[in-house]
Amino acid sequence: MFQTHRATRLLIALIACAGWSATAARAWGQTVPQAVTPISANREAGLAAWQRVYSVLTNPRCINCHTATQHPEQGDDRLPHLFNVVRGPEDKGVPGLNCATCHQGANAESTGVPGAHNWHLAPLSMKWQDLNDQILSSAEVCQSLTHSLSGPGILKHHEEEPLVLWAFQPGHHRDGTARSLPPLTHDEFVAATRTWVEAGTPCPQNP
Amino acid sequence: MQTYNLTVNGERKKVTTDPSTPLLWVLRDELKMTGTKYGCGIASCGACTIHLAGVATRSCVVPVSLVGDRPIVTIEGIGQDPVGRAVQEAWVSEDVVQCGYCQSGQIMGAVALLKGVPKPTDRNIEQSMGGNICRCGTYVRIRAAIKAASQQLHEGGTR
Amino acid sequence: MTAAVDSPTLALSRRSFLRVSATAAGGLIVSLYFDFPSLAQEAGQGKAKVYPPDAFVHIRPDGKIVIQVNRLEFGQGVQTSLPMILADEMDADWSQVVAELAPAADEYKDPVFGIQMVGGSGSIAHSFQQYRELGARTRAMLIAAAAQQWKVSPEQCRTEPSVVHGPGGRSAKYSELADAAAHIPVPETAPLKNPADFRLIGKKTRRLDSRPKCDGSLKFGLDLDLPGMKVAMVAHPPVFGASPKSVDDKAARSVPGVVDVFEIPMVKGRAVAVVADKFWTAKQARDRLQIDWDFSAVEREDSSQLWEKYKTLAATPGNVAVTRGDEKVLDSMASDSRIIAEYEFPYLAHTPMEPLNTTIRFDGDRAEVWAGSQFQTIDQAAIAEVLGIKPNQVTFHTEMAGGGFGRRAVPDSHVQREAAAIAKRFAGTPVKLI
Repeated sequence: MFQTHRATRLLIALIACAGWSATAARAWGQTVPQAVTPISANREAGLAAWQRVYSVLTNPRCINCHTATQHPEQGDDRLPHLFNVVRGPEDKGVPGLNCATCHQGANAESTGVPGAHNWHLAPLSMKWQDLNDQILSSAEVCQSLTHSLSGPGILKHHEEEPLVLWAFQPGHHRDGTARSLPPLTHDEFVAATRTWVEAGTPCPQNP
Repeated sequence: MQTYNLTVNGERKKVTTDPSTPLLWVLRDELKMTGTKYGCGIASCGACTIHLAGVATRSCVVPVSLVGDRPIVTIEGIGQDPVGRAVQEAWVSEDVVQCGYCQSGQIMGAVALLKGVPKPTDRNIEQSMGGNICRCGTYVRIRAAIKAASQQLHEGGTR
Repeated sequence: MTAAVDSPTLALSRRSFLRVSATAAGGLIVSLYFDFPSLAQEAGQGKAKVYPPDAFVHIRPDGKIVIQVNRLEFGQGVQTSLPMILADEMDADWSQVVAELAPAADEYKDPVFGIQMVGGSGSIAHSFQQYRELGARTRAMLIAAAAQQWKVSPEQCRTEPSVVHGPGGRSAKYSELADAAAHIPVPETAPLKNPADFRLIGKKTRRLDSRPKCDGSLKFGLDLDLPGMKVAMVAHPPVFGASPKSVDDKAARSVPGVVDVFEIPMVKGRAVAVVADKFWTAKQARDRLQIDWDFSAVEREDSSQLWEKYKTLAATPGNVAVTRGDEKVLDSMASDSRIIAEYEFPYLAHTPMEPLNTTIRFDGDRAEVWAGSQFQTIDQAAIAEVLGIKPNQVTFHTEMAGGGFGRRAVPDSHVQREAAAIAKRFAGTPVKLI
């Protein structure tokens, strides 16, 4: 009885340490090796939540600007953006042909140009496609994301960043038809992100 | 209909128009400033390029309702700017134009380029000017004129 | 030079040109591939048409020399090159030369083709001699006026740019002599310069229209603004030859500033026109039209059918454009010495940068037109036909144009016909069709 009690206390202490070091590691933006993270109901929920987050990240409204190339994509078919626009040194295009050359601070319904505050490409560190425009796997995007930002940082980005908010109110094409929406509402997306972050931003294994 | 107070080439202008009207048509039809050209209406050619708060902007797709108080500079006013003047002089001395319809936009694009990259390489020119279409094909002279303007501005050369 | 063309092709009358051009756009292209240098040479000799200098040159009291260009300028530089030719023979001060695009009129017709037009790279070939003679005649008249005033002989006078010099140090500016020169009878002949004495021809010269094209001040046809002007746009069928079956224009008419919505005939089929107070109104209204199109009259061609037709035509002997050497030599060549190749060209879009436009004001028994037209006298006649008046009742201004590349070379004048059909309903009001 006494041994079990001591073993249990040791186990609790171990878990606590792992939990503490995991939290510390998150704050520094590092992933904790999977082997240390304890299997819990939390992790299952976290992984499920991650898949919901991933479904939004990889829909055209988001992934068109999270490219690995020197240009954005355009449309539901994610073709290279027209008019020879390029990424530029600060992800905002180049002088004479910036993103802001056409994209303003709000959707231009009468001309069909989408817009939101500070329209520009996600940096290459946040690329979710490869150089052939193939969407990266769930595991790869998860790794990429958790390497770039902390859990709270990701949550804040998903909750407040104007370009993220735009994806859920993307406006209309010139012919009046609505742009297609991500698979979740913004509220659902934030909720899923929160669940995933609270679970310790678990990433699925690579298949 | 709504009233907008715009600053165009340093002057205050008041227009009352449909909020959805692209800035291009406010300039051309309300203010009678036809130097900025209509080539496509879908931001694909660059003939409508003006500067909005110093950023080269395709006025055919920006509704006047989104302009706000950002100052507007058009081809009619760019000569008041030393870079604008140098570009226009280089355009004349290199005999760039042919039909000329795209050139207002080319010049506004070139000025934005030179303000951002004072000594542009061929690659800079290609990336910044590659979205301004010229059906007459004056690209080679455009590139030469940009380099001539750059030289004139930064080395005080006579070319 | 190149081999002379057989005489039957030289007498290219206006009627035969129109017959060629009326067959199809392809027919027009064939006519423009004749051997121009020798055509022009042959046409120049023995024609003896004297073009009136006062229709081409106007010397203003301030010294500016305004030269009329009998061609459309759309980037090729003719509004600089033709004045250079005239100014050189005239000994005009080039810094004072101003070029204007001539309106539609008989004296501005192409000397070889007999209609007012530009195309087939014929501007210099057909008008080099013409503009030299105009310049030379103008100079001769200025000298004659000076000689008359000084009571000396013309042979004692010589010219420097824009100045006549006489014996004893006398001199007079062209601007001072212009009025008197206008009363001198136009000489049948006038001596042309020795090419070695050219000041302008053959020398690097900058375009006259550069600066205004670089500061936004030059007006193209699309930039025209007239008091009371309305703007028209047309909803064209998606296929040649279709017509509207039904038109729902409620949404279109509800846009504030729309004046009217109505059907107009096209060369084939019918379309729907919107007339409004300005471009953006017309554009919004046009885009809100709900049109159900009737395709029953549409030609049932398709691309593969057309390719088959082209291949068959290519294998069929056609008109001889030019003969070089002896084609029978080909037959005697061994087949492995012959190279036969078939080239397929895709559809080549013209896409000049300036959207096509025409402005017309119809006044009942007269009309005034402003257009960047490549075929002024053909367009003038088409507009007159639609309006039910005579061509000489149509004043036709030639506007500077933003490129052509074939798109303005349209023998059926379809843009002008649509503009006229619209303007006809708004007598007294200028209507700009975009």
